Amino acid sequence: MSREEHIREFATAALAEGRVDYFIGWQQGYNSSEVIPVFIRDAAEVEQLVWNPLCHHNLVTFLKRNMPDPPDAKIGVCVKGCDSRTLVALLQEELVDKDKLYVVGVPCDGIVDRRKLEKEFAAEMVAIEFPERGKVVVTTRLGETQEFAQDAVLLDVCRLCRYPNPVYADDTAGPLETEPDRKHTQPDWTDIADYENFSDDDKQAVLEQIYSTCIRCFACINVCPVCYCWDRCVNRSRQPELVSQKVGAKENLLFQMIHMMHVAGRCPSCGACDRACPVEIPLYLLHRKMNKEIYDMFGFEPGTSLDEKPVFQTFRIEDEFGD
Amino acid sequence: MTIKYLQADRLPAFLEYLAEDARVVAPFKRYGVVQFEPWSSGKDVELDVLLAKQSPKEYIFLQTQTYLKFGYRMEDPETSAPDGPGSDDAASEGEGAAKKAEPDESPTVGIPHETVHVEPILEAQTQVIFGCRPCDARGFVQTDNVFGGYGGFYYDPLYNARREVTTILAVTCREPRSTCFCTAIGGSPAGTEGVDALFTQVEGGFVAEALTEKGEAALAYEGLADAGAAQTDAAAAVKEEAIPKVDMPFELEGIRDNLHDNIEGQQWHHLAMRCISCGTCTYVCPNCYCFSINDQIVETEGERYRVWDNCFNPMYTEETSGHNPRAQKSNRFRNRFSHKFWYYPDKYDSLLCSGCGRCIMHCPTRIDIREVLRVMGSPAPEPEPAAAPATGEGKEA
Amino acid sequence: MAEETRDQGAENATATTEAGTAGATGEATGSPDTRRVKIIGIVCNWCSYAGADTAGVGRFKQPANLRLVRVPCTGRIDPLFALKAFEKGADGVLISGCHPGDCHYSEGNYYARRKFELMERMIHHLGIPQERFKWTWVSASEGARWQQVVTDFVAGVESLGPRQGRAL
Repeated sequence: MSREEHIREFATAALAEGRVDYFIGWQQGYNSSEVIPVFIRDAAEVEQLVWNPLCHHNLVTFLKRNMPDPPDAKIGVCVKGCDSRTLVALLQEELVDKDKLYVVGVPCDGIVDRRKLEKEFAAEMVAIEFPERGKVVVTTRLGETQEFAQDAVLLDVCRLCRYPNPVYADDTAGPLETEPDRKHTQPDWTDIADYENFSDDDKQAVLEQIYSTCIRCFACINVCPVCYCWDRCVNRSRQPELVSQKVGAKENLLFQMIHMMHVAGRCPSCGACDRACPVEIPLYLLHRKMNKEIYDMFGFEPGTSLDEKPVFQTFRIEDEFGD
Repeated sequence: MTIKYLQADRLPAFLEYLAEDARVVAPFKRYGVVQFEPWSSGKDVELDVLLAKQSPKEYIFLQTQTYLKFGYRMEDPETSAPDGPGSDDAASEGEGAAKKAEPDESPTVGIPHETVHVEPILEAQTQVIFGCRPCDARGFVQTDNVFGGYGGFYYDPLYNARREVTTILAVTCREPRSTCFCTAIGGSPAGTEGVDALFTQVEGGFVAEALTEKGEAALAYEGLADAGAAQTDAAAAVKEEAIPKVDMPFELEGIRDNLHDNIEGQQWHHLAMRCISCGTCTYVCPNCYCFSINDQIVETEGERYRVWDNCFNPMYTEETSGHNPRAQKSNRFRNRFSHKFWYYPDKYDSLLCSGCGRCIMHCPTRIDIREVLRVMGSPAPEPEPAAAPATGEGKEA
Repeated sequence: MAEETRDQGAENATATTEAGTAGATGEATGSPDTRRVKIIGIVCNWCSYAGADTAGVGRFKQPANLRLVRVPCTGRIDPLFALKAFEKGADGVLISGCHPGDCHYSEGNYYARRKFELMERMIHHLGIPQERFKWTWVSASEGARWQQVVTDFVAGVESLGPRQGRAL
């Protein structure tokens, strides 16, 4: 049975048995080059659920405060490894009711970077198919087709992934993927290495360039599962205006840094924010660095164990930082 | 009106010519991302990719616009000038809000007192937007209604000062996207609404048709030749081929009435489920125009600015009392589409959509306006059960 | 980078900075490169603020470039404060509180210690040199230590001069 079939089977059972009011998964978008989240309320509709390397959304964001509709719904949700870590982060803080959740874990061998593919063509992509594992075939509106090796077009966070299997799940959609040896290997932070080696002036110049394109749409904030203050967010405060509502490079970077520092210790670098940004701001430059430093400081990887607390919500007297 | 031909390799020279009197704005690709930016010599305009990430609306309707600077001053009538400041600033046409010092009848005359000194700010640099699409231009026509005094409602000097000095040179869409739907709502890949001159790419260059006086002025460049019959025929053929390539995903007729009838429909909840309530669709839309006004004050100096706002912001309708009529996401979701295809048409006799499809392309979960209009712009399938929206009563019909 | 950045708000962003710094000091300073450096100090009420007071009472000579913001406890300090100080034109930010173990509220600085360590690393990641941000612990009786901390920090910031931040 394929993972897709497993997911459909679990969803059918959960809906038919009334264990959930709706089941969140992925379905094809307006054409096969896009995948979107889907909310299945009727077991007859489970055929819409798909699983393929375009299923990039972190569905845990739909469990945040103010998202469930109706608010007290029992919800089934699919999670990849990275997604499950954000769910664990929410559970560590007791922000989601475990008893209202049914979690289907989906082991994952990597999500394809649709934007990388998009840049290979001037014409619009209208179909992305996976005829066999490891192969990606793109078709454009003009009829051109091109094949890519999946490994060559993976998201950067997937290339460097240490948690291909969900760390938390009630049921798992198929056999586990091979785990990297986390006990004996360090995480790979080479994706930010180039930026880290820039001089201070170059860093400032790059950030100014990048953050002058930000339109303050809040897509990154809202799509993030561990960013849950919503209407009470310091970034939205008008009375007092703590963060300027003006949209300029300095203000935008301040806005983003506040978000990053506030999710520190709970963000696993799932990359949902990078993918949500309409102007393709490389947010990973911030959150990957943040997680690198957190790993260096504590050896901590956010959202991996229910027994832990996020590192900034706790302390040890023996901590040795600073003077 | 004039029809000219611009050889493809003369495009930089043409832009150079336009840049002598105006700032030129065009789409450019930077790190694979296409955006409208000011042109400078040596930059190559991007026309192969159909749409820039955003529309060019931010060049007329600035995302952040400081329009007043103010400060407190102590005025000593013995030494102060008789009138208030800045009202003869040449840039403030008409609506300059410069306040004068207290009139002579005030009881504080003769006593040193604090006044507010206000200085309006309005810059409107002459500019040419080259390389946008007909849907982008149509967006301006729709925002013109809102800001231009249509129906006697509201006249915005800030918007109009920039609008008046902007020339829009649009380029016909040879290869529309699958997300385009301009033709379904009265537009076209070769549309002319809001366009000063329309450029159509043909073999070797562009056929440029002036449509307004501003367009004529832009095409007065010596490096343009008069278009020959073969070229105008070629342009007509490009347009004819492009139009049927745009999908017609719904029937416009009846949408407004059906949106009205479906206002309590439970389907709004289902359609809104994957919405994350950000503002992406609003900000990339050529037509959305909501804004908020803030004051930023440091001790005795401050500025008042306006900045884009979006109706998906959870706080958008939060009132001073704390009450929020659209606290629920599905209500905010319903509002956006109803505004564009029902409330705005009622007031301004036009739709508030160009069919560009950017909202679909950039929505993080690809909410599809076409799907929403097909479902909620159709007559309701059956009488709805008399349940209030989302009170936690289990499954809907 | 020589490339032009996009239009939106650029005209207004610089206006904010100028309004912010001029308004905050009330002085029209001379050319940016010769003005005195402005440092924001965020200090806890019980130890470091009192320590600064002790230094003052003891007439310990120290540079006067510091403007203090008093908070009840370093545990209350949000990274927003330091970042906003830089955004509004501060040339340096100094944070100080009770020594770990001596927090007036028992635990505040244990939380703060972790946050500040990350904050410092991220501030450097933004291209703000390490001389411009420091966090430390100064107790109420350590007037001399306060004097040393401030003197050293101001010297470090002055060696770099006033800051022209491009992105924060």
